[in-house]
Amino acid sequence: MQEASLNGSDTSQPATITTEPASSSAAEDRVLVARAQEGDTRAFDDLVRKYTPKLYGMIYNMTSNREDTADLLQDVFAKAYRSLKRFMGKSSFYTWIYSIAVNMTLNHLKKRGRHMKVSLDDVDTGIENDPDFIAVTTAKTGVAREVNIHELQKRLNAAMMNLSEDHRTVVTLYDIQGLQHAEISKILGVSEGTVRSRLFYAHRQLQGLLEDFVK
Amino acid sequence: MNDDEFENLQRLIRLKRHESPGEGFTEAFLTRFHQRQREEMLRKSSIELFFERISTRFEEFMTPRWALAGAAALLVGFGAWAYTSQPANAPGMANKTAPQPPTAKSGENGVLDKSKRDPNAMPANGTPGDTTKKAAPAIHDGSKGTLTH
Repeated sequence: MQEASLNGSDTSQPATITTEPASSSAAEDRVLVARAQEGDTRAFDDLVRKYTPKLYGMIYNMTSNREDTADLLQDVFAKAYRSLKRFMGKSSFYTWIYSIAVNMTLNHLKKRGRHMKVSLDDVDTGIENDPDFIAVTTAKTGVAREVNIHELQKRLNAAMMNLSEDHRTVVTLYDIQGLQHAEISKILGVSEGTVRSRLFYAHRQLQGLLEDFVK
Repeated sequence: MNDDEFENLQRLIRLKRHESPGEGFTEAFLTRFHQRQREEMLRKSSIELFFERISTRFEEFMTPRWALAGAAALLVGFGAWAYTSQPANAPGMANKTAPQPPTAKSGENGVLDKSKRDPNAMPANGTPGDTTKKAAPAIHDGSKGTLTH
């Protein structure tokens, strides 16, 4: 896994969460998409299985509501299924379905407005062994400090929900999902410069909201 | 924000990856997705399905490129219609295109048969009376663009 380099201007590389090479994944998608376009429903099921974890994570981190996330994800795949025949392969299927998911989530958030109910997923027990968790919860003296995971989760989600939708989107895609600036710019249909500046501003805001954990 | 703080911030945000819906979610999700698709198929009538397929097929034309082409075609069509439906100013054209005022009905010999006249008919000036004169068709004299009776 590639470690993020330390740079306040957000030109660092994100830590990626996928381990398989991008080219074989894209090739596999092309085969599945072609079969699904021919009417092979099992091929579309394979695409659903492959992208559900990633898209669930993206939508959940945007909404902080697991019920809304499950419903939205159903809508995303339903739309992708209806529109699949018009998918020409000019972008990767990955970019295409991420664009659908981001746009539908942003529309949902705009409709929901300020009446947002938080409903959080459980935190898996693997977090305690995560090097990031250990690093954050270890003081500079090397002594582990007591951190309530549930409280940390609430603070993180509250901080994310304080961001605007645009800023939350880039933080989700870059920091949590591990996408590159170029991929994010294609998904959102904005320039890389816009992605970088949104990230910079979002990080500044989050730093203020999570100061006691960050310092 | 110094480098250590930035790295700590990114570590914190990455911890959100540990929030997950739990094992078995994906298969249960897929089962619900299949169920939803079946329900949608049953709810929709065959006509609705037909129109949905048509609109999906033609959605690709609703791009700016096609919208501009459509708008241009509409503009040309409207311009052609406006040109052909303009009242003519050329000589000899008026008695073909100018609207004719209503004439009093006449009998076989061209003479107004008063017995057949609608008693409720009112001439243009609003007063009852002999309508033969007032109802005479307008004839264009062709020279100055004025109408003579």
